[in-house]
Amino acid sequence: MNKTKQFWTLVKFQFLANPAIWFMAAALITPNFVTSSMKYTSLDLLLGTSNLFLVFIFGMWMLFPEAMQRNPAATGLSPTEFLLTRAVDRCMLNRARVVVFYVLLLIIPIGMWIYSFGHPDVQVFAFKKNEQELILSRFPGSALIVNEKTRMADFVSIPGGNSLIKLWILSAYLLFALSLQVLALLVQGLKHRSMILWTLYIVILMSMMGMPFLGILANATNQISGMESMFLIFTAHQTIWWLAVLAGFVLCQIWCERRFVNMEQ
Amino acid sequence: MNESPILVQNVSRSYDKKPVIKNLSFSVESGSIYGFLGRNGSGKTTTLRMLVGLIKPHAGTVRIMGNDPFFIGAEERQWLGYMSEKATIPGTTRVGSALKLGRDLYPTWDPALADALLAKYDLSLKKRFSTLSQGQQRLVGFIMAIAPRPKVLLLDEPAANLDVVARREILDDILELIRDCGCTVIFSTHILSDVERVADQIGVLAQGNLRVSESLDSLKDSIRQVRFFGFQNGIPKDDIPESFRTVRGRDDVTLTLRTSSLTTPETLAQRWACQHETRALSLEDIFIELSRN
Repeated sequence: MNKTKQFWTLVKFQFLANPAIWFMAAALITPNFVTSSMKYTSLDLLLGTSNLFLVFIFGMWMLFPEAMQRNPAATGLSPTEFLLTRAVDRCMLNRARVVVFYVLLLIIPIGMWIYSFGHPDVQVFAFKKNEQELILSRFPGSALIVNEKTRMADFVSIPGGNSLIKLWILSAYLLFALSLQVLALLVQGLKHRSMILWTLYIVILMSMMGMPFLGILANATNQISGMESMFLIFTAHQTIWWLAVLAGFVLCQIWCERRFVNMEQ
Repeated sequence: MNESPILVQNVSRSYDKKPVIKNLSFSVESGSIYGFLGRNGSGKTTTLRMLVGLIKPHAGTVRIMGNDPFFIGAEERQWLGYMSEKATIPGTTRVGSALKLGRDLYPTWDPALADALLAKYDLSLKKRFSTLSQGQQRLVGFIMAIAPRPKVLLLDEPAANLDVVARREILDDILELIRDCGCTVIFSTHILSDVERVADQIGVLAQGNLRVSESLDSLKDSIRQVRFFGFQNGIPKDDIPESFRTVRGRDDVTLTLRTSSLTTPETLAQRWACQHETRALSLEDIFIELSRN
């Protein structure tokens, strides 16, 4: 059978196998569009996204339904055993899954990024002197906003900042998804893989919840938070950043496909 | 030389260092039905998973139509039908979507056969798998396995969870498929009446060992239960390695033996200075004798 037809047949089947997941993706993306204010109290909060745990959920449902569920057929999107025992090439099944996974996953950050074209600027609270200086020096056109009541300059406006933040989130989704793909394939053959993955899920969820505290900690110590530093590196070297992400993506897919093809189910 | 479509040679497989299959060897001739018997956990599903290429043997070779099933691609898989013992199709999938997948993937897919079987089993294309009974899910799995008209068909407990009518119909469909296209079938089960009805050859798997692999008639003719009694020198303590099962009573010893084995009942009766009586066994008796620990 023609490989292209085989690929699209598998993609189509997986898209239609569990329509509920599309509603779930839509329900989760909607809150990102509801906020109309472009004035935020913390750059740290803007850079993190609690939706990162979705990467984990989609990843497990799509790529490794058997690893997380006792009966993958009950809720799994892409039942490995059923599909591998049809007239398919292992590599084609892997590719079809990866495509569906990344489409599902990237709909949210790409949607957020496109939406940000309508509201490209952002104002963020930055009361620390060093933080203000760093932002003003790194972002052309950025300016301090003086509060009329307090006569203090505690907000910084960043032209195009909203789009940059959304791009940063997009790259975070991609890097997180790639790490997950590699990790899940590494633990796939292990006896306690379900336990490892569930533990990881809980750790991720707790980290998401704990993320604001890192910003608070950075504020308390009068330092630039790690997340902010990373974001500044990202904005300064966007081309290299995206090339590295792309190269990482391609290499990861080559490695993952080879491993999947030789992996027992 | 024509190789058997299903060939298993000296295969061993373990899970977590626990051996599940030990040095298994058998082959299935083209156009025949091989009934794979064994108790739960005897290694039937593991063997079929190796044959369909989901797992690899740790030792030995497995061949389907001359190829290693783990590495075959879409082209070769068109000739291989498989029905799993468990529900593997997502519950949210409609019957129609699953069959469409089959139709799109297999150039040999027979839509008339699929439609006829759907009508026969009274299955609706619009129903989702989660709304079907376990038996109905198995029937869809069976249609998915045979509608491509495979050359080799692997069925793992095809009749499990089915009522007696559906079970009989499935067996009839398998026979019809073989008549139509000379398909080679291997099916695992612990329902002996199914095996007696359709299988040409039988393999009995117990604790990962293949105890016998031969034709049904030959198996019934060659295995006997022999009871030794009236010992003049007391109950003998020596082991008979050729016996499938040895039961020592208070004043008798019962062995399950092959009639063709080197140690015949007569020589044993002479050695032990006793009398003996031989009893023919039904398939169920043979299965129980061979499967017991």
